[in-house]
Amino acid sequence: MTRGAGEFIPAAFELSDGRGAGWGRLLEINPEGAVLLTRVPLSRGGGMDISFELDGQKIENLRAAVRKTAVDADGYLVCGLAFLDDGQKSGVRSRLLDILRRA
Amino acid sequence: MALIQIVAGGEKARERLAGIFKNLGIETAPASTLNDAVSLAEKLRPRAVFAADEADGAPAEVMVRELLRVAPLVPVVVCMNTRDSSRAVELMKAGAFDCVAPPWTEEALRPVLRKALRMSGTAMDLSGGGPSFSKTAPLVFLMLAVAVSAFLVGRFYLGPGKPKSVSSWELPYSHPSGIAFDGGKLWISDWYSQSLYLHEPEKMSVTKVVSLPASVPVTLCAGGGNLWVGTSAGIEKRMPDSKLTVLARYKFPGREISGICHDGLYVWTADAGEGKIRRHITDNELTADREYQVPPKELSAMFCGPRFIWTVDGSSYEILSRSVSDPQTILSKKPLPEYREGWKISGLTGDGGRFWAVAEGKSGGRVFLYDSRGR
Repeated sequence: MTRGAGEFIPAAFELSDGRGAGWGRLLEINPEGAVLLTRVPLSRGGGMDISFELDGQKIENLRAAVRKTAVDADGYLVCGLAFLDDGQKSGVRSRLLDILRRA
Repeated sequence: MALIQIVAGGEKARERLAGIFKNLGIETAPASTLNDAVSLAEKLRPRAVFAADEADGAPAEVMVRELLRVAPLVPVVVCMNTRDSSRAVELMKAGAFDCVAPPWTEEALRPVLRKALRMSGTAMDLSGGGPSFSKTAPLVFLMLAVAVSAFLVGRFYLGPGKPKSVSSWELPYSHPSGIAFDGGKLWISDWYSQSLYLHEPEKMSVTKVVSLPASVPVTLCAGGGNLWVGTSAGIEKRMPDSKLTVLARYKFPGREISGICHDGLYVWTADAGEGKIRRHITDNELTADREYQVPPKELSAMFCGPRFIWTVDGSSYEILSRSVSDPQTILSKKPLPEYREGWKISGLTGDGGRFWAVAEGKSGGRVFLYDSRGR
């Protein structure tokens, strides 16, 4: 799967282990989780609060855990994230459904 | 050998970046100012541009926007001076390919350079080893990509067909001159009462009035976290606090300001007196760096987003859309039959799905809402 990197949604995140903040792009998103492309070293099990915009609306401080990681051919990290908070997942679902209805 | 363009105001920064790329086996072409960078990018067509934040004193957003204007397929990477994830995201939303936090090292730049040179996303196949998603995830992603792309290329309500619903409300004041949607709030200016009225957008009830005794507001917009008020004396930048505190006043370089808008980076003004659309950099003088000749009748009101500008033709009662990169060319026209009943439209604003216009008429002021969301 290759795409122009500029097409993907920029995201900022705050790491739960106190290492600070980072950024990347979301390659995929659904109500349960997302795939994040970043250069910040992350490991499985690590937690973060991630924020991004969907269709102009800010989605902020989504609690997420890193479930899978892999390094791509350029040295970027591709991480599978799982959203942890049911209420927040519901918010993402509503937002995505809104977008689909209008697409 | 791949050619990378480096943009940095300081010689040390240019040398540092050049040294790193030399170690990585990459040839570089340096530039120290925005104008040089744009000119070089056009001539040399580098494989990528690495630009230091605040090179030439201009914020990186300006650098990114200008470089992408002349070379839209060239990845522009911003080398930041501080590690700021919020700023990095804003820069990427402005078009930056990626951002590099300090310190700028070979190790930090190598993956960005490789990805930029390849101009592709991740080369990993995630179908086998990635996290498990629901079956609807690929469809959601596809539709999301379509929706996000559509949003980014300015699929405003002025797409094919009429807006889904039109509503209007009578205003409690008679001379509305401008309107601005500011994150859930709607400000409307009235030139006669020299006031700004804050409305709740769903029912248009007035929740606040701010008097501007020293200014006659003739047009209005929100952008960059501020309210921008075009007055009979110039342009004011105001903080959206309880008093709308004036942060700065600027001279208007034209004859008659008839519209103002903020595209996320620049302020744009319409001058119905000289028949010009001007683009302004948000520096200390709000310098007009570009101007475009446009028939004055097409500048009764103005609104813009990151990619498009909309103006109103006050004689034909049409909204005209234009590109921010070529404001003289009209891309589309939409008739507004509501205004043929004797209303003079004086302000435009929108939020992506809804579009408001204020108008003066014989019976007073009115606001019209065009809602493409079907509500």
